[in-house]
Amino acid sequence: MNEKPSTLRRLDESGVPLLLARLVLGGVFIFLGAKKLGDPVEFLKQIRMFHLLPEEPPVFLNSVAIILPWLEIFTGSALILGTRVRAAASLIVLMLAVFTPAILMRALAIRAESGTPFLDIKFDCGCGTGPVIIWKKLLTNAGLFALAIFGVLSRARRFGDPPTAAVTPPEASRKVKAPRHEAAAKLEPDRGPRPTPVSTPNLSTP
Amino acid sequence: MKTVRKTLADAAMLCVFGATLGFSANQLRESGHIRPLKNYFDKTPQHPVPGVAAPTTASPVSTKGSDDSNAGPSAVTDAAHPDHPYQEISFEAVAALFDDPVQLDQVVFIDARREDVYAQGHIPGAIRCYPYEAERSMEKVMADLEGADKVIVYCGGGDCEDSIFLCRELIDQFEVPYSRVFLYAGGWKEWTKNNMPVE
Repeated sequence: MNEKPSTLRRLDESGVPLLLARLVLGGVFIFLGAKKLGDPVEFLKQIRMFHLLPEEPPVFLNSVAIILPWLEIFTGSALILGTRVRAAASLIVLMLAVFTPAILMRALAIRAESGTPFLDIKFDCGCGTGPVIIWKKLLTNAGLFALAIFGVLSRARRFGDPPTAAVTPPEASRKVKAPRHEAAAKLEPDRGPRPTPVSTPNLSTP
Repeated sequence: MKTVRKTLADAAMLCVFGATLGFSANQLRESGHIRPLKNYFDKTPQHPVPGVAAPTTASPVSTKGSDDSNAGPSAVTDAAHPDHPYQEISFEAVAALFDDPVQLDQVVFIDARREDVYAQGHIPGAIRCYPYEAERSMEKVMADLEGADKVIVYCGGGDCEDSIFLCRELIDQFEVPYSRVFLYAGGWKEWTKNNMPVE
């Protein structure tokens, strides 16, 4: 007897949670990228403060300031348009994984230097929103990180990347419809169980 | 595995698009243009005026050695700053210059802050020159600097470093003699704290 998919799995495969995550994440990153583009020099000054890259040679630091806002806009747009979703979400995971700990480290350094209570620490993290209360920023980033991870791991591709050539039309159709027509699927012996996680990667392969 | 490869390929493609558009848009920008190979955060002048020894960050020149006879020992701080090679000028000295109309004629104040912050208030008569876009203000600054004995550079005060970078730009790009460039480290914060006039 086939195992009944969990409610969470069915919810994921409906595509709605991923669509919402994409819209939120995409909107936020397009907004933040556009804000950074408004004052790239200020962004350059702020990322220098994280000491993630050497100042000499300057090409690395300057290139990050030139490219990153556009990369945020590109990844945000890809998420909203529903194309290259997994790649865009992966890049956002990477960006957040680099900058969020850097923000935390800088906040801790400020606390050690000035004795300011952690919850009162406020500075411009170069995120595009000006000076912010840092614990709130970290919390927001954690939320965005969770959404991006979901974007990478989600099996749903409804409302987004179309089924790829590696998947035959009936399989692709079954993948989308199965959660909503559980009873009908059981009546058709040739359909078998829902694709397992092992088979998932093929669905988005060209 | 195929999914991982496709994801990596797509991510690389997004990065290439981002980089291409980023560099192209940066080239087309008039305001906020970043030169990829320029070190905006170098505190030491690279091309000092011939005949004037340029100090290095490692061995800052004492301000007492300034060849500017008008400066006087009280006009500058005695201790050389470990973080930059420029001669600093104290608030008292700046205020004294500001209150003396004769001396004020020989002084040019340069505000190194952003345009929007400058617009909210600045030292009366100060001209604005953002160190990251110094070339754009070059004509106006050069005209104002003609005949000036002292060029006093300031920014927000506190941990603001833009005035230091502007000092370097003045010496490197504008070829202002090192001895005429004074860094007012207290900056806008100290100026307003002492209830000095603003414009």
